[in-house]
Amino acid sequence: MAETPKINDFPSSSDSFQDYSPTQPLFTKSRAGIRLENALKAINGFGDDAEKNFEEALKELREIPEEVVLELAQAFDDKCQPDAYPIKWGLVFLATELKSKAAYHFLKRLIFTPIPDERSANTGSFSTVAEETILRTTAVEGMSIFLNDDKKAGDLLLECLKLPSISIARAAIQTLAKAGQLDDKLRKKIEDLLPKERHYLLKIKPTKVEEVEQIKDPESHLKPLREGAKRKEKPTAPRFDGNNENKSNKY
Amino acid sequence: MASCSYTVPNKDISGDNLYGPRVCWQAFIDWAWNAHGFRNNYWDDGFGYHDVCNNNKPLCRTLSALWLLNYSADDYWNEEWSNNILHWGRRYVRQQIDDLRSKCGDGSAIAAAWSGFFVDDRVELYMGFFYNKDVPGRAETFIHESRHMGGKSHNANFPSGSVFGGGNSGADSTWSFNGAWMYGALYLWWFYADGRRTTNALRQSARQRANLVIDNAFATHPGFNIA
Repeated sequence: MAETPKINDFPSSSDSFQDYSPTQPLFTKSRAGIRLENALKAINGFGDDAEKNFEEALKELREIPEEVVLELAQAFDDKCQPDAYPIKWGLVFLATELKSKAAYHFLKRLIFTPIPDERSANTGSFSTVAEETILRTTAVEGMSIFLNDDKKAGDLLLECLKLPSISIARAAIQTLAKAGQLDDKLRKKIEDLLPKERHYLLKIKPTKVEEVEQIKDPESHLKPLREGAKRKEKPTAPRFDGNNENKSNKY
Repeated sequence: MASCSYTVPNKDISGDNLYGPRVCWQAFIDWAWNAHGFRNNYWDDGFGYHDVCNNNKPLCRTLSALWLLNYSADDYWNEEWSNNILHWGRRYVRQQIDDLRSKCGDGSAIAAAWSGFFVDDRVELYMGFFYNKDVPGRAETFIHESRHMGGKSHNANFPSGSVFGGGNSGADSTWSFNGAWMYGALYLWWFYADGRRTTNALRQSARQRANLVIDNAFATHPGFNIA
């Protein structure tokens, strides 16, 4: 078991972290609640069976999609702290992974719920509007499964273009494009719906990371040294073997 | 000196139950502690110095982000500058940060960096860093702040309609400016595309976050995003 780091320097002179409290259970003890709990545990599992375990958890959720969405929506609305964005995102992600019509209204409601006013005073560092937007772009992309056999889903994505968010509009356009529905007629319709200064959204090209401009010579972007000083390379991270990685899952 | 407390959100979805146990490895803890200039007087008093493996506490959650930074490339030991940022991002971060502090903060920022000839070079991490972001999001913050440590400030205003506040300062002019937003987005992008020892959900979360940055943090949209 790892212990306290071995370096000691000065006596404490900083802030104190008094306590933390665990969150309340997200789900009820219902059948759907138990299955959702299992899915959340499996969502970021690791090891040889991790993917299989998550798929099995999803399969169980898909057996009772209506119950699951009800439970999930209740957790999202009533049990998540307002700024608990990772768990909110996890719930939206699970709703999209259900790949069920039962999730349609939950996703739709989220997309069209107005984004609450910014609560952060320093948005460049952390923005609640940004986090809320990520929830909604995930929901928008989750609408893709309804596009093939439900015209309403396509109409709903077009409605997204009227929302103030750049990212939601961009996600809606790209979801339509990915489904092969962005023909000339629809493109024209989107142009009519979008304000002119947002027509560029139609030109954004989904790209592979290897194809975009990378950072050339990042070493030259290191902080400047004082005159005459020589840069000292710090030691690299220790290499682990399989044991280090596997050991971790016993914790 | 301030005093703070926090409610710990679900640790499965944030990745803390995946990465937290991995940092509980003495060789890694000692290396990370020295390489990033952790100071124990900023990490004790409840922040986790005496409870390193407790992933409810700020120190473990910080080390989790550093673990992700250091071991997410398949051949993580290959950190040549000529490689991609998934490989050298860890090297960049440790070379840039010599003094890493945890603080309560005032709730406005989740992290801040200071550098220059007449200031105490340091990176400070606040409550939002530990509890409002998942592990890949915290790793992105390290990359972002490290770029600021390299002397690169933001140089533009956010575009109209940006989630970060259209017209406010704090954006990068373009992708080619090679600023902190580009660094963060590119790291997340590579993590999404080629990250190892992680999960599909965390890679998808990284993708959503990177696309948000690409859409909103550049005065001129780069014209591409993540497929």
